[in-house]
Amino acid sequence: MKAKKCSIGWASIDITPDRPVFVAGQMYPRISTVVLEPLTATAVVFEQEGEQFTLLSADVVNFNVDVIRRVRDKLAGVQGLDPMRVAFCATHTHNSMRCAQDPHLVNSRRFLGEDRGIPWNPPENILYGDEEAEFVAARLAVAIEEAWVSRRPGGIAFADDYAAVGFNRRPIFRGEDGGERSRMHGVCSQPNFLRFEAASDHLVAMFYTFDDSGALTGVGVNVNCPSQVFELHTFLTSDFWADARACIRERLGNIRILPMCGAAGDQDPSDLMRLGKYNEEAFQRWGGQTGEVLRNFDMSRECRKIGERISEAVCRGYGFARNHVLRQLDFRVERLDLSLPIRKVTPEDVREAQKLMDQASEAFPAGRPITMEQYLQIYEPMGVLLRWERQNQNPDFEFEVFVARLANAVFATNPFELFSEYGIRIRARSAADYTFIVQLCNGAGGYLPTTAALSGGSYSSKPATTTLGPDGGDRLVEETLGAIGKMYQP
Amino acid sequence: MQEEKERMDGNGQILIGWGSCSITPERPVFLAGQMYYRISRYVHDPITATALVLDNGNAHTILLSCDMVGVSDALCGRIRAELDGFEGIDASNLSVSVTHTHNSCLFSPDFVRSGFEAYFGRGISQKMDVPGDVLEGDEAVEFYLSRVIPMVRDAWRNRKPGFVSSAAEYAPVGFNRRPVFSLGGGAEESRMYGDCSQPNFLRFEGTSDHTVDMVYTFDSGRNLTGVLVNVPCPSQVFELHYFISADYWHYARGSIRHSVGENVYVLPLCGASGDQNPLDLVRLSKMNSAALKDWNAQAGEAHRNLDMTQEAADIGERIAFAVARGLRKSRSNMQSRPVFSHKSLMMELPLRQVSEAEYRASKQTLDAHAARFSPENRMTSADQVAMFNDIGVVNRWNLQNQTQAYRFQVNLTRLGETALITNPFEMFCEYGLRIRARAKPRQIINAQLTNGTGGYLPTTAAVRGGSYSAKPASTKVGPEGGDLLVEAYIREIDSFW
Repeated sequence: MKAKKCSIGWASIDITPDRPVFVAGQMYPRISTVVLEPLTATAVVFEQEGEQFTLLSADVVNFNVDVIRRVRDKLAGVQGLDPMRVAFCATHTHNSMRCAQDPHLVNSRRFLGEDRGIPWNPPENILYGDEEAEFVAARLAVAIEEAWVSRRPGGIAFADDYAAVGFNRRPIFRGEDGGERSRMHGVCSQPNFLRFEAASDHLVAMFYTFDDSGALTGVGVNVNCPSQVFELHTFLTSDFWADARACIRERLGNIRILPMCGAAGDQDPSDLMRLGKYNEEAFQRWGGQTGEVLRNFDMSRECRKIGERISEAVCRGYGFARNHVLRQLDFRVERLDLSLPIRKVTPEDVREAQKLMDQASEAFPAGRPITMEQYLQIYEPMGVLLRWERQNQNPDFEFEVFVARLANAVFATNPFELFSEYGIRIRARSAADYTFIVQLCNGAGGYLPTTAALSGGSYSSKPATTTLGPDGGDRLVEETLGAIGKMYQP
Repeated sequence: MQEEKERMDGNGQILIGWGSCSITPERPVFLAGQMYYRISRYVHDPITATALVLDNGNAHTILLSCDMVGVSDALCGRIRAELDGFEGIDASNLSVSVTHTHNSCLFSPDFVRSGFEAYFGRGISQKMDVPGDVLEGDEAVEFYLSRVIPMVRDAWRNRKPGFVSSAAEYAPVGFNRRPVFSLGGGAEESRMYGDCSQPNFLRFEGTSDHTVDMVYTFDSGRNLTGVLVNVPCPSQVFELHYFISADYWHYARGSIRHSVGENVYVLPLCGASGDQNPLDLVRLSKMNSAALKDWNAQAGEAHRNLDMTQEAADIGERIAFAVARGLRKSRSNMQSRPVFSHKSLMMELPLRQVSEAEYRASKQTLDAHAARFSPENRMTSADQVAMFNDIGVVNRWNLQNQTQAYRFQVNLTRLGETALITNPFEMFCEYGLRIRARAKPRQIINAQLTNGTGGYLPTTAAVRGGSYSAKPASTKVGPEGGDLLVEAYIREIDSFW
């Protein structure tokens, strides 16, 4: 591959709605009440001799394919820009918009009837559904176009460093029967706490861009943790990325910052070891998902400290990167349409789920909306019935993956909340020196759990919250590594 | 000092004393930490000992941290004998900890070397070319004591009223070093320092703990005088080579002093990290596939394709950042009269046992192996290393026929809302996490490799996974002992609250 000179463009845009929105990320409905920190989207474009790759990151819980389609449609007329070479990733803040109908509202009505669905009473001026999707898509398209047209010759450098941000959120406990069970956000101060289900990955991969004069213009930061310290409340915020951006700019100037969430389906920014003992009751209610839970720690301070740690890693990495700037790259982009077998349920699972649904439906009062406690009783069985329907329509999950090589670095995207183990495997075996694994990208594929998670149980390991199972995870690892390997073949 | 002590008895004012000295030998020494013999060739950076004395008139504790791989019971006994009764010191309150640098001297007989020689006899064991001026045996012990004892006494004598404060922060330093690999058909095994770039790499056996705990001390003018830093990771980036070094703690001390004050004392402790090391195998394996094999073979020095100095310096920076962050919080939280108490106790855990069948099999292997060698045809290092596990089984069989228990000293100190507890093991991270999660105090500093060398304390997963650090040769206590230790430690810690 002959190396040519690279052009880089950046743009950012505010996507904070000026009307109330449905806040996505919890089962219980939340309508936004106040803006704590603005929500933003940032796009970076790399282009070199006809090859192009655009990465857009936004402070949203995820990107569904409908919003992506809307953005791509809007970009169709932008000269030279290939909308199909744009990757969309989410920071996974749980205090932002979904840009789609809420599945819990929809499914509870579908299975129990309109009158018995999860109650919600939105204000008249709520921004929801199609209107919300259009609002967000329009803003994102503007940012991407601006990044594209503003591209200029520049340089890029890579570094990795470490920052403790994500912590495993699936502690394992000894059961009364002597067996072991995982519990998402379990209380580690309990006497039967044993260990965590898996390791965390505190590596932070970074890319730095420079203009023609050598000045730093932006940084992309791949942290293996979703941005969800606040998560339970009704305000809008980009969560710890607001503080991380501020801390990075305090140190490196008013540069662009593009956050990417690495493989972190089993990770969380709250250290359960440290916080569990002061939040026993709160953590149990958090798992209950029946409504807002007030936890006994200073969330703003947690975000600030995380922001500091990320910015320290970015600064340390910058010390290396500024001496390793590349202006001509081996640049190759592959967009793959992958199709992997979805996690299946058996007819026996379906019979059992249907039985539970019937029992619950009978027990719930007629003509009255269910409580969240009642919804939780049907959540997993409903997931089994939905999976049965889906696997009978299409036994495969089809999704879009980008693998982009930029010199000795590679970006590999996936639409899942990918358990850390898979990310670690990809990184350990990747042919690139720097591997950016970008999860929650170009779709919402649910959690991608490990074999240990399936054995352990709990939320994030069952059919209701997963599209693929561990076999799919193994396949994703091999498909991704295969595509990366091809990028480095002469 | 006597006047001061009397004055403070009534009000619990904390008195703080610090000391530090070099323990860098000026002659070659046996370097401890690998199975192959190493005699030091040069000093890369100095190895040091640092002492912190805390006393409120009613209770006192002395922490001594050394840039060494371990501290033997015998050396601990000598240190205690030299300090006990000195101007009121109760030496049972002394904790001798090590950073676990593998580029230092034990100042005691090397257990690996003496193990090979004791089993096979000097006649057929590997012949070593030992320089005539090597510092070893009693002479090495006396050298060490001549440096450390006056330093600790000075720290005690110079203790003064001041303030203490504590903080917990994060710095990624330790990484799990026991990757798990698929063997096909659902079978798996762990391999210490396994090559994660292999296609059958699955995951790590356990988690890491990136918490860093600090205790800061201040003089009466509220100026920072020193910091105790507990990092759950041994100081062993260099480890394979023939020079003397404090490893990453040399760089961490430099970075901390650069960040918070050039004259600040720094006392490193190593948290529960028997399954951790400072190298990220995910990042480094792919450049070191061949070197990892050599490293594991333990037949001699292995050269890895990584910039060790840069690694150690980077770690030092990360620790220094955590120390600086913690200090900002600590400054507004100083206490001159913290709740302060100390307890020394002896604990006993069941000795990990081997079966008679295992013993017989290992004995047979060893006898057959030994028969291949003679004084004219002596063993190489590789020949000895190959027998490490079998020697361990035979030795364990012999030991378990004498005693069923492993006894060790534990020191427990309460300082404000911080509990400091010691253990002599290389304690797998899981046990440390359980203690920290469940015990009452906000902050728990669990200093491993303190007051003796109890070997690795592995988990059930490790025993199942196999490899070095999970077998009888390198462990005295097994997972059931680990579970008992966790419960006993939580009970003891909570009794102070």
